[in-house]
Amino acid sequence: MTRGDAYYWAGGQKVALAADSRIAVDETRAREHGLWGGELSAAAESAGHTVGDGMVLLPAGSVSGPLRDQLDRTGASAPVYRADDSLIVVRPEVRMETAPATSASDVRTAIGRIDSDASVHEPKPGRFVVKPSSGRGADALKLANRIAEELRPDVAQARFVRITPPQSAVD
Amino acid sequence: MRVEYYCGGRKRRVTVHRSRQAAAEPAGAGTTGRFLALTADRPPALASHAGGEPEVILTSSIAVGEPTPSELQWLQSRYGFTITREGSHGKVLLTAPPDSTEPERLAVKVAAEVFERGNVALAQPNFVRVLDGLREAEAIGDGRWGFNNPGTPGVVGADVAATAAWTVTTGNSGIRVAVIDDGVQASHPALTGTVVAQADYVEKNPDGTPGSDATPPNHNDFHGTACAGIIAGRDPLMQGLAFAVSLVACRVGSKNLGGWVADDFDVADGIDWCWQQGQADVLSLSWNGGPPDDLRTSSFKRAMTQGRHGKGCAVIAAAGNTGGPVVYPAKLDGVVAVGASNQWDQRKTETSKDHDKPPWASNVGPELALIAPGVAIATIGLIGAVGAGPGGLRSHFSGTSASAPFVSAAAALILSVRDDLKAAEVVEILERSADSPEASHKRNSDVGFGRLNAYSALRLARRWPS
Repeated sequence: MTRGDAYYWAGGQKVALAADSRIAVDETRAREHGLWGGELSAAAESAGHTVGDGMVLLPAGSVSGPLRDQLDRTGASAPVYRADDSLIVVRPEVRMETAPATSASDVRTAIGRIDSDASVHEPKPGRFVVKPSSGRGADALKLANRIAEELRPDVAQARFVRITPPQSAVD
Repeated sequence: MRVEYYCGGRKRRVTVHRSRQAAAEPAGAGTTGRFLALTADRPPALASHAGGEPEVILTSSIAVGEPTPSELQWLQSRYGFTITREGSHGKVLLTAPPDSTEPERLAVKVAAEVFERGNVALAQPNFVRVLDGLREAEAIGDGRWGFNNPGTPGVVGADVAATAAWTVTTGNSGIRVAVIDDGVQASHPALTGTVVAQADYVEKNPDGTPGSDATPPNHNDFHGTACAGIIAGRDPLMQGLAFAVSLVACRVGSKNLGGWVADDFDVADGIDWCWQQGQADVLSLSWNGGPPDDLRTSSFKRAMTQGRHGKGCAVIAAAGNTGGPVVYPAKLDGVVAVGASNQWDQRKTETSKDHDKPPWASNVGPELALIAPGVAIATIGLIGAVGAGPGGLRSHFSGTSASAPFVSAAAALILSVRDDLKAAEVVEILERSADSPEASHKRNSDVGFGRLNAYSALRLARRWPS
C-alpha cells in the first residue's frame, strides 16, 4: 500500500485517504534519535503547528529529503492524509475491539501471524492496544487494515488525530 | 376587546377589532360553513397583536389536539361544541353551536378552558390568518430569542418555548448532560454547582489517564463553555434551557490550526467515560468529527445501548454548518442530528432572513431530526485571564453547535420528568413534539421533523405510556 492508495475500514466499508503534502513530527521521538535541532527545529519554528501530544505538523518540503527519510525510518514522523474536510495524522498504534468472550491468547496468536513483533495489551476485556514493531504510523495503518480484513473483529483502527473545520459558524 | 389564547404553552393576547373594510365586505363563499363567523350577516372579527403582527380573523371553531373521547363529550355537553372535521395526527376541529350569541368569543373562551384542563395536547381558536410579507432583519436583536422570541426581529414564538417548559420543570439535578467538547470552565459563576464530573483527555496525567480535575481551558476553549451555558447556565440573565440539571464536562479536543484537533482514541475513551464513570444521561456533541470510524461509533453505540443501566443515553449532535450533508457523528443511526433555525423559524441558510455574518448554512439530509435556534445566540463566555468578554457573557454564538445544546437540554428536561424512558423514546418524543412546518408532520431533509418545542416535548413526555 503506497501513500496514494491508503484507506481504513469504517462500518464495513473502505474509507479512502488522500496523501497530504505535510508530515507530522513526534518531537520526543525525534529527540530520542538525535534528529531534533538544526534543520528540523528551525523548520518547526518557522513553519510548524503543534497538534497536541508532542506532534508538530510541517510542510514536507520544509525539511530535506534525507531528513524526511530518517524521520520516517525511525518512526519520528507520522503520515498525514486528507479525508473529506479533515486532516488525519496516523499514530503508531492500533486499537481493536472484540466480543468480551474472545480469548486474549487467540488474539495475540492471530496478530502474531500478521506482525510477529507487534506488542499487544489488553487494558479491558475485549479491548486491545496493538503497536507495530516498527513504531511507524504507516505500519499501524497497514496492521489495522490487515486485522480488519483477516480477523474481522468489531473494531480495528489505527490511532488517528483529526483536524476538522471550526465548530461554530460565528465565534 | 382583548382575547387570550394558548400557543406554545403560553398565553398570548390579541386585540379584536373590526376594520372598516372587513366589516363592509362579506366573507367569501369559501369561508362559510365551518366558520360560522364569516357569513354575510356576521362580518369577521379581526384581531391584531399590538406589536404589529399580522391580523387574524376570529372564527367560531376551535382546534384541539389528541382529545380523549371523554374530553370531546365534555365539550359537547358543557358548551355544545360539535366535531366539524378530524385532521391528521389527532387534530380535531370543533364548532360552536349555531345559536350562540357570540360564537367567536365562546370559541376563544372554550379553547383556553379546555387547554387548562390539561387533557389535550393543544387547544386554540381556529384563526383565519391575514399574512403579509415577513420583515427583513433589522438587527440581530436579543440573543435570548431562542428561548423566548419576541419577534424583534423575527416571528413571535419561533423559539423552543422555554418559559412554558419551565412551568413544568427546569430540570432535575440528578439528570446529567455530558458536554463532550473542548473544555468547560467549571469555575464560571454561571456554572457554579452545575459541573459534577470532569475528565480531560487533552491534557492527560503523566500516566496517560485523563485529567480528572478542572483543567482551566485555554483561550481558544470557549466552545464547550458556550454550549454548557445554553444547556445549564445559571446566570439569572443567561439561564440555560435546563438550568437545574447537572453537567459532565469532558474535554476531548482543542482548537488549533484554525480547526478542531482531536484524537480518535481519546474521543472514544471520553465517550465511554461519560456514560460509565460520568453517569451521563445525555451526550451533547457540537462538533464535526470528519470521516466516520468504527472506534468512536462503537463507543456511541455502547452509550446508546448500555448507558443509563441499559436504558441508553440520548446522543445529540450538531448537523454541521456548510449547507452540505449531515456530518459524522450526527449522521449515525440513533443519534439525533440537529440543524439550525433562525428568528423567523427558517432553516438557516446563506440567504435566510437573519443575514448572520459570515454567511453559513445548516446542513441537510435524511438523517436530520430537528432544527433548533442557532443564530446569534447569547450564552456564557470564558472569564478570568482567558476570558474573551466582560462579565463572562458571549453575545453572539452561531452554528449548529448552538442548536444541539438546546436539544440536549430538552432531552434532559424530558428525563427530569420521566427518568424511566429509554433513549429511543426520548428521541421519539423530541421528534413528535417538534413544531413542524408541514401539516403531515413528516420528516424532511431541510428541517427534520421541525423546530424543537421543549414545552410540547414535556407535555408529550408526561402522557407517554409507562
